[in-house]
Amino acid sequence: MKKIIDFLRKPVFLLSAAALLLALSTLGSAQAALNYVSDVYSAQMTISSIGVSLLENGERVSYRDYEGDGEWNEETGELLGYFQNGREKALPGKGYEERLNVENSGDIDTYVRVTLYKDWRNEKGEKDRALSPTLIQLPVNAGSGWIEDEKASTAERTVYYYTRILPAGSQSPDLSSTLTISPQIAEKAETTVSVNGDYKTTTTKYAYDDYRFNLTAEVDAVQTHNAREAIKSAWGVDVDVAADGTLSLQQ
Amino acid sequence: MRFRKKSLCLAGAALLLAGSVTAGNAMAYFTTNATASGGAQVSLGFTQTEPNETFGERSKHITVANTGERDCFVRVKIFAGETYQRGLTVEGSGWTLGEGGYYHYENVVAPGTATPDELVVTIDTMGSEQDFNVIVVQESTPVLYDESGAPYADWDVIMDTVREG
Repeated sequence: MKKIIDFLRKPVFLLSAAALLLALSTLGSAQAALNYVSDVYSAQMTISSIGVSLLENGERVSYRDYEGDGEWNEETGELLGYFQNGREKALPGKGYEERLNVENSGDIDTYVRVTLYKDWRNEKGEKDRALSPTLIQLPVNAGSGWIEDEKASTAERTVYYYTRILPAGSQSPDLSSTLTISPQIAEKAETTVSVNGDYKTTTTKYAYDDYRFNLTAEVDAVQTHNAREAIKSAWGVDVDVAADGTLSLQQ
Repeated sequence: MRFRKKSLCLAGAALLLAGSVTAGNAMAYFTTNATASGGAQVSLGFTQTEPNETFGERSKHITVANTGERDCFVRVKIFAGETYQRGLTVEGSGWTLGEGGYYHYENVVAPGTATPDELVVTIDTMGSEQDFNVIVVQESTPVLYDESGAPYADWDVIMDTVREG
């Protein structure tokens, strides 16, 4: 008897017993769920599906919606298609309609943010950091509910948060309206002077002629339940959530 | 004492085990994301203009040709020296006297074309028999566009040509 008691007091036994008990506790609930199903009735479980879509000028260009069973309905499209389709080059100073907004294409409410990346590529397709991405101008619409996370933003990357809850099936206000390439891009130029008879001619060749600009928009969505923790976990950002659901970034 | 240490270890292990069971739930937040990219080339080309002049008995007829690759605005200024400047009459349809004494052509000049309207300079020698030069300074600036797509000129960015005769 003493041997049995001594054995029961051994740490290895106690630890094994604790692990076994924990395992059994989860088995119990699984078994209960199985017992609930009968031949006559079936229980249908509704799984919350999160989804988000990026819209450009009212058109859905990219989306990723959860369909259940680990399956996602998703597609990645292209921005600025009007340049490719028309084979048009961008003219400095000219404003091009570029309305970006977000649709909640899932069936749960979400908070969303958009990260914009801008860069310049030379004729060889290589990134040229000498030319400032700030010349690619896509200003946020004031009063639209979108705020910039200035701490996370750089010349190449700008992060915007939509401060309100985006209900399932609804669209956010437009983040932006107009894309413009700053005329400042023409300021760097090489000038040559040629003399023809009794007059001279100045010719200017622009340094960034035929350069290509790129714009990438990345939209993220996260559940509104336990928003602070969810946003911290998913995006690594500290936020405050007011009683009415309004989001603000912690300084 | 040894037993106490063991008990503490056991308690810690049990807590870790229990924590690991719930950790999965705590991390499971609903998230998703979507991305799109695109781009375009920027059209700058080069800008070059040349003045063309024909001469009348006491007049110059000036047009400006765009020999570059890009739409531009042009303007012209005429000098004849202090003595003869007052004797110059400058006029032309589509040309307007602007700041700094420049005559601005009101329309965009496309590559491969010239201003269809002449700027005519009529010279009054004011009774002088002496030779003198009438200098034509021609400047151009590439067309810029405002947000509505309307073209405009920024005369801080200029290309120039000077001709004497």
